[in-house]
Amino acid sequence: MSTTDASRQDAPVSAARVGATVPVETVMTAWGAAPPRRSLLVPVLAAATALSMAVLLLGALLWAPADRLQGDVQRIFYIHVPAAWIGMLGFTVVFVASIAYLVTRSARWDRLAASSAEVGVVFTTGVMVTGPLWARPIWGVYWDWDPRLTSFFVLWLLYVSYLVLRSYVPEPTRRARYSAVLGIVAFLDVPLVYVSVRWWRSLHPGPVVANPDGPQLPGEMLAVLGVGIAAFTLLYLLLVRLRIDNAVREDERAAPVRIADTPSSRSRP
Amino acid sequence: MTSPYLLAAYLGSAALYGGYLAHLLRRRRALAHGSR
Repeated sequence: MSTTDASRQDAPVSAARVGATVPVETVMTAWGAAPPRRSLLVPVLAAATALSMAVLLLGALLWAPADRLQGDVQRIFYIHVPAAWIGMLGFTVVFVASIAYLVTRSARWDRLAASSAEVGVVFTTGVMVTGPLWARPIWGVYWDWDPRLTSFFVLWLLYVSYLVLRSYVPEPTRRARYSAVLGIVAFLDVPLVYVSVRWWRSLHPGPVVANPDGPQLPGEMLAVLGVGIAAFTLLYLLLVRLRIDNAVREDERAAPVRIADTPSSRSRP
Repeated sequence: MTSPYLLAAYLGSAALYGGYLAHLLRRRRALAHGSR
């Protein structure tokens, strides 16, 4: 079996369908479930994330100047915007990995899509928590059904439903295929969220960084936002790495059981 | 830090991201020890 074949997700399932006696080692290799190699990646990512988060906290809460109109509450910006951007990045990764899965049928892409979706939902939940806490003192309300907030809420619901779908389809090949389709369709809302403040009147501020006239922020605020983007990117990479490692180990354990539970293999004498 | 909203946003975010990280690490440890 070649390396490419070894990572094909449907290999153990099709073997079970014909009722073949498959050695556990072969099944695990075919599932692409070799235990994650011990490497320095996780500790290095964890250290870099902790350091950058500490710098972000100092910069956001102590170094950056207070906004003249909004006061201290504007400092929510430094965790709200990076979480939104990196959450969107996570959903973009889901989109790319879902296409790659449908093309290659490799379990690696499915694990990447699932992991990135879960982390993306955590980040966008962070946006949904910090946004209303910023809106209440500035707009006078926690929530308004304006185009940006509504399209973002729909985006969050779509990826929560992606995770729910994954938990309700027990058969791995079908689960991967269904979620890949949803991972592609759900992504259609990402550009809609982006253009929502440009195309429609919205309470939500327009772009202050990706502005046609250049960034509309003082240098210190822009610098702290840059640290925030770096810190949230590192956190995203750390969480996705940990989630993928867990998924590999879960698949490694699930593969032999799945074979044993298949009707065709149970019916063998 | 004078705003309770600012405090709630930072503490809430820390609880969310820290809680999820702790969940992944607990799961990692459980899987390493052989539980499902």
